[in-house]
Amino acid sequence: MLRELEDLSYRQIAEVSGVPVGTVMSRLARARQMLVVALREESRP
Amino acid sequence: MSVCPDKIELLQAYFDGELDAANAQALEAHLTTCPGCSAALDELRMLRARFADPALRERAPEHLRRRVEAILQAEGSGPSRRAGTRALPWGLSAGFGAIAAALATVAVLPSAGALETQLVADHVRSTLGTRLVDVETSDRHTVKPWFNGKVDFAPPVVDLAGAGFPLQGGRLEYLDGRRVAALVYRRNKHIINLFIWPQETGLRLPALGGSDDGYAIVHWTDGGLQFWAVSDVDRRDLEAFSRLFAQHIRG
Repeated sequence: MLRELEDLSYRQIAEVSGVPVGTVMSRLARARQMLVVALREESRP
Repeated sequence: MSVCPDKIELLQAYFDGELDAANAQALEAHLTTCPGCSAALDELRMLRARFADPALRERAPEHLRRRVEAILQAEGSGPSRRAGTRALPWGLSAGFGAIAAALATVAVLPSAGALETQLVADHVRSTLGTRLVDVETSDRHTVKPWFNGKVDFAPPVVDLAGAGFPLQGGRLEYLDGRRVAALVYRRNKHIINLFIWPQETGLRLPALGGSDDGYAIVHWTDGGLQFWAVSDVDRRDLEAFSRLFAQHIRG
């Protein structure tokens, strides 16, 4: 959300949300992974 | 054919332009030989394209923007100023607006008036959500025992319907690391939240802040308990309510 809509960098996201950059990366990866899966299922009839 | 598990984060960092040149090059080389990873990269691009849909963007109300800017200016230092001068795009998707608002609240908390901010936030949340009351009744004899075992003190509950403040019920709140009783009253169409908890909590209470963005707060202490009435009613009404409440518990 912060990355895609607010265009913040990983470091900025880490600052606002108070977690390490590594955590930002893994959470972002997981969230996108889930979105991709969800969209895939949505597009399936 | 799927993305290499050890490359997921690298791939995303690459996609976000966060990878250093050496790693980026290594990944690009990998992409040319790994169909799974390049498919994953395509999916990321698709995802971004969907986020770019302007329909997802809802402009935050102007008054919110002004408030946040005022707060940033007041703080005037640290990472928040950087964010301020960066001129954040104020396109917030509807569902995500709440998250941003929550962050803004957190950012404000360490400053003076933290408790008031929290109380107002709690009040607002209670009026927006579905959980205004945990126990819904106008009978004070139902509300009072309901708190038994839920909080470690006995909050006084009085009936002020005759004075135009009908009781709506009670709610359990979690404020500043402890359980707090919230009594809900109504004044015409307005909701009044009365938060009650023992005085000796070690909470550093700021001097009584008047109203915060149109929300009136009235604070008093009595019998070892502290009372915080929060509402969007007229301040005089809230003061009248508080006086009546205080008089009633003193009998």
